[in-house]
Amino acid sequence: MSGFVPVNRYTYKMTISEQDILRTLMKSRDRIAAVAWVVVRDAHAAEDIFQNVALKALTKEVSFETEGAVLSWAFITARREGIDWLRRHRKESTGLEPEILDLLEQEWLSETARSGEVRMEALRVCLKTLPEKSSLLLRLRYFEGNSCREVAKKLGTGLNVVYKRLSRLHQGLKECIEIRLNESEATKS
Amino acid sequence: MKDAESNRELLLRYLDGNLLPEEQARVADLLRCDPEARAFLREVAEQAVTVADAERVEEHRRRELGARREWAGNRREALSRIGGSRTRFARWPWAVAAAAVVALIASVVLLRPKAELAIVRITELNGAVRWTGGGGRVVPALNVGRSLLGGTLEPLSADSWAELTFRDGSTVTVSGQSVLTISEYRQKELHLRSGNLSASVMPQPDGKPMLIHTPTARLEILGTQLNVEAELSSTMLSVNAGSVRVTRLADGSVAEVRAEQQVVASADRHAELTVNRRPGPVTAWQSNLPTDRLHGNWLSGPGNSNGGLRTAPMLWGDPEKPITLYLVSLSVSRDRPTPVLLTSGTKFRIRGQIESAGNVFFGFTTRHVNGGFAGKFLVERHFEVVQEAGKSLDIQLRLEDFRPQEEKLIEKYPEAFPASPVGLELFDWWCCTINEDAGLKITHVELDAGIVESNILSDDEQI
Repeated sequence: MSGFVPVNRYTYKMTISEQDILRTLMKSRDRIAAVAWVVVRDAHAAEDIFQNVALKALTKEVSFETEGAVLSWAFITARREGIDWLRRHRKESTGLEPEILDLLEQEWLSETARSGEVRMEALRVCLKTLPEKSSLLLRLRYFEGNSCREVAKKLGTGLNVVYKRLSRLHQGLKECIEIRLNESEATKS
Repeated sequence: MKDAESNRELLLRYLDGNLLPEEQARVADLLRCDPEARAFLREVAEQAVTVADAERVEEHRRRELGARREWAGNRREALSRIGGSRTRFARWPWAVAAAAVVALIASVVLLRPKAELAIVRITELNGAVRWTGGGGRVVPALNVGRSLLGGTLEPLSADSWAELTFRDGSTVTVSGQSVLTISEYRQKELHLRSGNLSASVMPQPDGKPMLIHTPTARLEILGTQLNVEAELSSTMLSVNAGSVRVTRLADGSVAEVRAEQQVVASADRHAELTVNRRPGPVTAWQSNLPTDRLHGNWLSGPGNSNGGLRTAPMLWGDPEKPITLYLVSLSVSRDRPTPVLLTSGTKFRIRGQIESAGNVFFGFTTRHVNGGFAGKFLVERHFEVVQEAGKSLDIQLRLEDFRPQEEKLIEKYPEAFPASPVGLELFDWWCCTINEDAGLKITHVELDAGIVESNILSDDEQI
């Protein structure tokens, strides 16, 4: 349920309730975590950062007028938390300039929460269809946080082979998502 | 097409931190100007977090499966009940995870105190480490990335250790056989019942210092780097940065310990609670058995002259398929306030007995000078068939022979975990065999750059 905050004696503006803020954040959880991941490149840290962002949104005295405002704030906060995390863990910055991070976040923002949610569900289905070797590669790289060199060593292959396989794997997943989304659209119509 | 693929590989190398300096500018231009490149980067980021999330949910599902089997007590009945719910988990892992996070965050904000949030996350881990959480539930094997509520952490073996990170960035490393209970209600509280802990503590809120309780002392920390060794009868604290207030429990005596100082808080109220400047390091050390014993069975000989520490078994690793370590471990710092510095050209000399052939692992734990945990190093030696029982063992190992226990940590954190032990402090020493009791007994260990090579048979010539 939304609330009303008096702006002046005769005008009121609508703000989003805590429950709606939470709902918006949860629908876009993957994108917020992805923003953090681009900075910290650690999936577990990115998840922690998402939780911190959600907690801040609910406990700090910040009000939002629209879903877009929530997301915009969440992306900026996730980026800042990521930079703080790098500093605390004595790591150097990602090297991406602020203008490039801004471009990435704007493109993420331009996607609606609903379409993002549908796409992520399609991604999860596509992940389940991967052969074991591909799943293992992704698990070693992104869940266990190994560098590509470590992954190559564990798999007994060359470093360039790992880059090639990852590149094709990511591209393949993207194509799988698009096929699923098209199928879903065709079913609806 | 080929350009697009090579751009993707370039971006993956960038994310891997594996670019030449001239390539950095190329990546920045690519991302600035090419929407396809940015789209790929966003895809990779989303896929990375989704893969990790799916693995976490799957891991949670496997743990739930294991826990339900235990409770049910009837394996077949438990599986038939779980079959339906497993399908639901498999089909909707996102919904389960999302619902769990919604419930957690909503309950924190709307209904419950902040203490219900995860207190720490495991940021590094090695060896057998056990966790006992709320309600007394035991988790025999942990993994990096796991978030924990309050509970008790136990590295079980000399080569085990874990690094925990609090929400505010404070880190605690527990190494070797230790028992540490953590909680955070109004403030962070750690109970180190025994063992070793290094902590780098971020500035704490006013009036809410981090508290570390040991059997003999209470430590109040506002923001510092420190090392603590706790036993039933005494606690040794050394502070590397900041200051710590120590209260001795035996009589309430209080002392302030500042950077480069140390103190021993004994259970004996008649002992002095004196803060001393940390002495400069020495470069030689000799074991004092059985006083230095951390693990192993003491076998005394006539007049203790032939006494030695025999390896004792302990289970290690996956509880479904455990490994048995036959282990001896020694403290280097017990009753010795002077740190031992590892220098180039130093050798370990180890004397004792071994009764059968096999591979023996020798290792030690290090700390940074005036700093915290710096990793463990080990080396393996093979001993050939022994003709006689109780064959004497007298070997030397050069410091340069030892390799880091966790190679990947060196790549990730080269300053915190150096590739060489030279320049680090020696903290403890251990040796073990795996799954086979070779009848290994240690009578003496020493570290000295002055050990003369020509007087000692090399380890390959011993047996």
